[in-house]
Amino acid sequence: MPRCLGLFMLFFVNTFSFLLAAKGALAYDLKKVKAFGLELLWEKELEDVSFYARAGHPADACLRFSKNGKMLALGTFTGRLMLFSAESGRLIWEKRVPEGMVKRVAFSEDGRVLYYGAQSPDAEVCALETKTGKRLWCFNTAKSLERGTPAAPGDIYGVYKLPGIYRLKVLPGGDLLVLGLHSWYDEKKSTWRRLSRLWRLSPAGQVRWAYPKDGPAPVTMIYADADHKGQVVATVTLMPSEYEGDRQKPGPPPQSFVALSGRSGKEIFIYQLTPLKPYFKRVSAWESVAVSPDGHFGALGASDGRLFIFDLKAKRLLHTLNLATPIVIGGFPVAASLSYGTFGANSIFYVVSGESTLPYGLPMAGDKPAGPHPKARMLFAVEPASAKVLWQFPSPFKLQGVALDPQGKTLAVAAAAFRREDVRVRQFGVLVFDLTRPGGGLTRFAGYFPTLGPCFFHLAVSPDSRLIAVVENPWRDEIGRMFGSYRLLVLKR
Amino acid sequence: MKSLHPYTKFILVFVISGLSVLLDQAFSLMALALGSVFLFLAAWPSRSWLKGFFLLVSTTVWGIMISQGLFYQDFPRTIVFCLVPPSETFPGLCFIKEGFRYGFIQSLRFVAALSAGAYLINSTSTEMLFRAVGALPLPRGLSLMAAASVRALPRLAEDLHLVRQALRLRGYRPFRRGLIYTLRTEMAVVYPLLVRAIRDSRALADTLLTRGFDPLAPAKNYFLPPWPRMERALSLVLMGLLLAIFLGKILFWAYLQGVFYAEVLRPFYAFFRKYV
Repeated sequence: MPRCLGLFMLFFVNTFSFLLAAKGALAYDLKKVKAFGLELLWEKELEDVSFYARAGHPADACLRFSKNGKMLALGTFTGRLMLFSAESGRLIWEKRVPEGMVKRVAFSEDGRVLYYGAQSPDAEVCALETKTGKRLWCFNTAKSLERGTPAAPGDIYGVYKLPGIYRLKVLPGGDLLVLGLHSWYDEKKSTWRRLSRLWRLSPAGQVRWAYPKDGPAPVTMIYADADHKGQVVATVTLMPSEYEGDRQKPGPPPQSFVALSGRSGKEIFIYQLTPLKPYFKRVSAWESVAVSPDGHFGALGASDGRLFIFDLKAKRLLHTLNLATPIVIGGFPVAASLSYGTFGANSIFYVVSGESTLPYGLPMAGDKPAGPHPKARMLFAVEPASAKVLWQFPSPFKLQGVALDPQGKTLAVAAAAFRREDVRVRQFGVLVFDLTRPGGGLTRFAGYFPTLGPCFFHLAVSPDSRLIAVVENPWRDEIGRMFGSYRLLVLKR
Repeated sequence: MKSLHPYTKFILVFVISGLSVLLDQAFSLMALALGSVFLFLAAWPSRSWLKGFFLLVSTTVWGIMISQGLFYQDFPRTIVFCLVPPSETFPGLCFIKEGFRYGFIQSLRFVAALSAGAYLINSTSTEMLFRAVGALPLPRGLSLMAAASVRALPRLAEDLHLVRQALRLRGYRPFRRGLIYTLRTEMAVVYPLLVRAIRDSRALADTLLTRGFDPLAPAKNYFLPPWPRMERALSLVLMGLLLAIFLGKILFWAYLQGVFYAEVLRPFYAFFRKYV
């Protein structure tokens, strides 16, 4: 009997040691980190997302400071919506968005209302009272974008098959600019379908206009932006829906830069983008569409390394900059994408370039560049009228996501992991630039806070440019060890 | 727990078995398995029962964990080590960490059902079990089959004990004469047990035939103690819980398949996805 019990104990110890090993995040005290220009003010551990990290997938997060800088809102991949006191880290309230992720968050001008946009079966945009967390209204975009198929349990990418809010911006007067996108493989129709639509909602959740007016566009609109007064809205259309029934629907042509009137939602300018042949078959973009604060310029960074600058008043393409377009190294073309960009308060466009890659889809046996692109991993500050690169900062590791304070004094960029194991640099964190300093990128570089895992690209800078909020993701190295965790870090300059 | 009415015990076992099939999440299966093991231990089983139970549980858990660890096909997957490394022609035979975890979760189903069955057998006399089964509104054939199979288990254990005793008296000691001899001898133990089981079942069939047994006749009313009101209420609650989970699973399935969706049910869908 004692032998039997001993065996049983051994079995349980072994079993639980396995479970603990699977959890396996290594301890790391960030408060002890001696960082340059930044220090940790507070941190908040979120949920265990190591399951996703092991599959090489970062867990989404979205952060926003309120206009007065006193509150910080966080939306997470697991559907948590949290409101914190920005200075102390005290959790004011927390809500759960079931069956979806909180994709975007935004505060009203007076800070009394918190809006969130979800990627969920209803792809809803909701308004909550910041004081109590009470729901004021919800706007269901899935009625237009279709609901799609819910994710099967255990399907880590399933949530991305649902319709979602890809842009949520509060305009002057309290209106909301909402971009909804639904891109999914329709198993009943055996084809990829893509539906997108832009809305301008009143503070009470009423539709002021929708683009396209009569229904969703049969095309991917991945990101949108508006000027400070909400008079011009810009977006980019990418891949068309492959379903014949969708193609009959009216909408902008695919592969275009589209500028709309912010008041009526009517098209004011469409520019057809042409792929950079022979290396690229189509134009791709990510969160790199922006409109200058005065509404004069529009900018679009493409994955082929081109930066398009548009004069929205003259309704024409002003400049095309070959910032990171392909160069031939060792007989192969090597490029870097321009995936994240935003305008500062002084109408200077800040854009970051990604890793050196071979153009996707080329008929080549290898996929490893022979050498790095000289403009990869770079932060550029571009003056739009003259298309002059005012300054640039070469980073030793992969950059993603750009955040600015409303005054345009501080810029923060996240550092993340590249998907290729053999060329990526294992160094993550947040880089901060003081835009008020004169000189080049290195003199403006004001701080770096290292983290164990990559930082997600939706980071935020407080209005007084003193605080920087970022979400770290857990990261799995080549031999399966887990580093870092899914946590919110608030850093102080 | 030992003094519960046989009907209550039946319902407990039925609910645990049903839940072990319906539940899919680690948390709920763990709770079910722990509850079921507690039920078994609360019936104060004998030492030999405990020994056999823990041996069966640990071999079941480890067996499923190892097999799932080796043949796990889903992603993400983390290789712990490889017995046969992958090559150009062979995908390799490796232990996958996620497979171990999946196997552990799956084994909890077996542990729950096994513990519930062990509780029923251990806490109820065969006479009372037969009476309870006989009193159920089922054809006699079914109740007799259930009672006969339950009665056969202690008999099988006795026979196994007898065979092992005989082997021991003839000088057999495991592993003394090598692994292959031990395996061959252990496998050979099955034959006398099988022969005995077939002979007994034939004798039982002949007896029933000569006595004019009608398997479709309604059950006889055997004496059973009255079913306490509290236990009736508890049984009703348990059956209601099982039914609710069953209906909830159907609703969740309808949502996943795109058959039926209601916005107000989203918290319910999330709860079922995470915990059920």
